[in-house]
Amino acid sequence: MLTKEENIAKEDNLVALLKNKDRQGYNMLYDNYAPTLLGVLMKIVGEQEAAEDLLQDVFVKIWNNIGSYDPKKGRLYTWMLNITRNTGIDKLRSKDFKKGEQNRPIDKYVNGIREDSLTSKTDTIGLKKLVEQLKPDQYTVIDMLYFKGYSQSETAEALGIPLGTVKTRARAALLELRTIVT
Amino acid sequence: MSKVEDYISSGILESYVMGLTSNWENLQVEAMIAKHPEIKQEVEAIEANLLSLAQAAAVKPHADLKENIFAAIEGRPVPKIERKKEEEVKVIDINVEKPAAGNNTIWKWAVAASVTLLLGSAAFNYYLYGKLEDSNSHLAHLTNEHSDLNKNFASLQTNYGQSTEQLKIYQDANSKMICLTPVSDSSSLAHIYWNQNAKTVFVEVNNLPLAADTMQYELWAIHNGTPQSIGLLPIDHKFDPVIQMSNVDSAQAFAITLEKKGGVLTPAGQMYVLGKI
Repeated sequence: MLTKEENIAKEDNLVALLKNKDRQGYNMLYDNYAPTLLGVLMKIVGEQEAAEDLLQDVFVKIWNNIGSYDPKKGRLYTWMLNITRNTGIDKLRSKDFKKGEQNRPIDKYVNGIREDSLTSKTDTIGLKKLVEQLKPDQYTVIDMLYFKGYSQSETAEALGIPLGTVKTRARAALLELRTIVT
Repeated sequence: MSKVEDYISSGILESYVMGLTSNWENLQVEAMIAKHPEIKQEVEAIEANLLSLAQAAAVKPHADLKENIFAAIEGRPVPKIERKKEEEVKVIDINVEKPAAGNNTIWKWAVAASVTLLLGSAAFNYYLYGKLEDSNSHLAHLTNEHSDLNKNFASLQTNYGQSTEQLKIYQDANSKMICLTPVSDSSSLAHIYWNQNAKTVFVEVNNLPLAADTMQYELWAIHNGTPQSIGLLPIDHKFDPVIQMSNVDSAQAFAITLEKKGGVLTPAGQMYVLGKI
């Protein structure tokens, strides 16, 4: 394991390579992050082929927009994760995707049942283990916000809870995950 | 809790890292990060945490994807990834049979036949289900229509009842019609139908200005110069078709005045219509 400082130094180097459109930099980026970003896309769109097409879009976006990435505002992977999530969520909300997807009902969440993610065969054991440690209501909030592209107010409305509760519940969930991961 | 702790526990930092905050909120959060090392530390922890969450869901991409992505980045044509179908449809050729397995053949035919029957039955069920759905929606439509017709009928019946009553009053040979003509307001008009045998009085209001909330029209029978209240008109201004008032034994004139809501014993307000017999 690298220390935090080493990690940041490594990331700084990588960012410099990426900003120079260095092929080796993108090679490293792919090797280090493609599976993670693909996993996020699969959580969002649910299907590997569609997710891989989107991952291609994500890398093109990273390539085109790396100039606007500001390391002062957050880590590289946070920036990439957000690009990835937005790409997936845009797809999820697009017309052609909705046509194919008949069943993404909001009521799946109403009772805080996390059936879709846990029964999905695409889920890795790792994520399953992680989320199983969360309370269902905490997981639901994270899943809706992070993987399904609901805004905080949409989440609040769908679950019938105040906006402030959405935020604090998301925080509680991530704090819980922090104790599990570290 | 201190202000910084409050800020951290509000959950806004998680929203910020997830990219869910507005531009305005971003500026606020960035200012707080610059000012408070604890907040900066918390944001870094959240970033690491969300990365772990994403990493836990990592999926190995198709081996050809990397090359495709480089092709896309560099503007080269991107080939379509050849994918094997997860489940190949196995076609069983029932004609290719070993001679020794005669018994087996019958079973295969039986299975094939039952599968055919099952598929046929499923298709038929599907068809019937569709028909049932159609019938159900048709029934729902008819039920709605029926209830609408019932409502219309009830309302027509009420109208008819009212009209009949009205006609009876108009046609009553003992009934005297008195036209109440405007006193001050030129468009006001009302009619009184007074049955002098039965002493009943009906008023038909043709036109009266809308009264203020605090006011109400009152009807008067004037006998030997003394007005006697024979009732108030409804405050909702619904005067259709005719309204029965108190009975009147004798009168030389009828009048309507606008009084304070609830009515008065002797007229004090403005007189709108007056009719002498």
